[in-house]
Amino acid sequence: MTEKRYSFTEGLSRRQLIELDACTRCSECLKWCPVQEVTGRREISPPEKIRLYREFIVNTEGLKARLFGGKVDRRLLEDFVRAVYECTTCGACGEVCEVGIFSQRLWPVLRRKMVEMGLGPIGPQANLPGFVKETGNVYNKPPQERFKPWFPEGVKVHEKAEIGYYAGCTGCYEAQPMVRGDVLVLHATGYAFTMLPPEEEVCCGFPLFITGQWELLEDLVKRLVSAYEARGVKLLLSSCPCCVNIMARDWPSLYGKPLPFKIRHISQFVAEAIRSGRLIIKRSLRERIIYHDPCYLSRGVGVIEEPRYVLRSIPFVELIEFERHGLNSRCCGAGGAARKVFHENAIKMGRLTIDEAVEKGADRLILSCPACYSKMHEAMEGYERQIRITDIMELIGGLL
Amino acid sequence: MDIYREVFIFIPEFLQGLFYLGSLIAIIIFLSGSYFRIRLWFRAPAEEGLLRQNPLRFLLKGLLYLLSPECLFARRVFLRSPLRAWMLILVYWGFLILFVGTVVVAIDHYLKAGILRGNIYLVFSLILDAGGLGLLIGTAFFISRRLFLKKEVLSGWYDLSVLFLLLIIVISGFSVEGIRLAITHRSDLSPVGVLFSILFQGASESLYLIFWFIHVLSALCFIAYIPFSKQFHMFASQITTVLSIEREGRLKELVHD
Repeated sequence: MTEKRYSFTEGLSRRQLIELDACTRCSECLKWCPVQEVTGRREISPPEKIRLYREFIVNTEGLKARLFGGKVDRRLLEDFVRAVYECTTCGACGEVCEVGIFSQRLWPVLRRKMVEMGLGPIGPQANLPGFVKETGNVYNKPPQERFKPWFPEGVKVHEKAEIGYYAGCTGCYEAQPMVRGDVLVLHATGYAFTMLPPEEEVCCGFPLFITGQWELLEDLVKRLVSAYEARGVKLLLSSCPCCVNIMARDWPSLYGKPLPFKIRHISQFVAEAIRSGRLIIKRSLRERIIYHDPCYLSRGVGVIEEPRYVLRSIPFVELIEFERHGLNSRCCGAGGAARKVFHENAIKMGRLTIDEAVEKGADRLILSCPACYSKMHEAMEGYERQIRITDIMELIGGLL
Repeated sequence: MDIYREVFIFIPEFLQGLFYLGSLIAIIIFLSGSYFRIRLWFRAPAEEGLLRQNPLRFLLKGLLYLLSPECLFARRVFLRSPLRAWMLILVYWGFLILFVGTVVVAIDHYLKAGILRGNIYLVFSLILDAGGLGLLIGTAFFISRRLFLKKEVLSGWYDLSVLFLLLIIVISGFSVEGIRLAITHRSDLSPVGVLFSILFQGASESLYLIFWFIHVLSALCFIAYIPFSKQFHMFASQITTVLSIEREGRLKELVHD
């Protein structure tokens, strides 16, 4: 037992404290949690995490603790840390939560508490702030290689433009066909767009946010926002749902005032370009395709219809759905920065998606997130079931 | 014969005094426990409009939410499991009916209003009987769900304690009513009470006292225990449910405005 007294409530918002009291442990979330699906370990389930955290609060700030001093079992804390970091933060539990607990936000905040207490993050996640400081990206790759290996020839990037494109670290280093597709499609719309130079396009902050390491966030955001503002950007696009999520939800508060531009996922922009006749998909695709909703795109920012509109615009294509789609989609395993630590879980989750796509007779699995893209390819390595995996803009880029 | 609500029938005065003392203690524990729990909420910064309001307005609004269609008819639960939603409605409404009924009885008794007489009393007694039955069915369902669906549902002492306490309250309540009807040879408009009175044919006043004591003790323990148990969700979850509706609205604005 440890005598050290922490404040488990400091840093949590009012809503989050109420949420901790609101869980009825109805267990509905157990059916939807992807980590539960592949591990079956109830002790790391969402209601158990909430129960444990409440116990920490009661044991340190309850009446008994105030009168006689509080104690928290170190082993329980370590169990909690593992549970909260094994989560992919996909938010499926919150989506089905009958009392509306916003878990996609609660888990990162609890992770931040663990970081403050020196108990988190775990494994290689601890390297992320150092990598970002050193190279501007979470993969510790040279910034000069950020765009060079994949950027298509003949595409002009304007010095200044109202449309800005943020490629993102994962796209640039781990899902290059995807960001290449983004740029090709953007170019095809005929709009002038701008990008930051590779050494200026630093991490959006999401990997640091999601692992609870928040120290660098404000600086990163201020640098990025000022740089885009200087280029006259009024609309910032990205194909990475995690980037879009933190930009839309947290950049304003980290920046300290409203952003000088709007944030959109690239599928929204492209859907609008198709709708207005500015972008025409000329080539047909006689395939049965299945679209996987990324957690931070559907549950995160509510972009569900636009990618489907884009895909349905392809002549002769047949778009089919997963059983769990839209707001209830199943995490591919890449979320929450857990994929590098709990690799086996992530692979199993990815294979569940591959299995269903194959069973439904899809010719191609369409993704719209660089983390999903990278993880699904990894999940398919050495797996008996195979399906072609393509990013939505990679696909559209090839059909123009 | 004039039918009316008899309060404290067969209860000696010293036990009545004990009941008032116990009630006072239970209410003090409930209020202070709730105060400490809610105070913790208000120490934290509020990010949303509703939560930014001062504690009094917030609590008043919170109480109104208890009566919102979202909470009264468990919309979100219906989306997941209609059976569970119906059972939740039985518990929620049962609890609400019995709570309001008890308040009405108290008002009638202390103000000597004499409202609960004749046909009004009969209808009142039928409504309370239905509320009790709903609570009984719902509680039994949730207990059996936690006991027999262990693979699908998390269950431990943490989950079951309050449910068992609730079950004891309802069963002892019906028993008290059944014994009263058996002793007084009355058949009020309370079918479940009448059913219980058949079980207690020939029962004595001492048995009535025992069941009354169990009923009162379990009810007061329940009230006092709420702020220290996970059952505090009955208040917190109403707020988060409403906040989640606001959040769903904002989700549309994040990148769609």
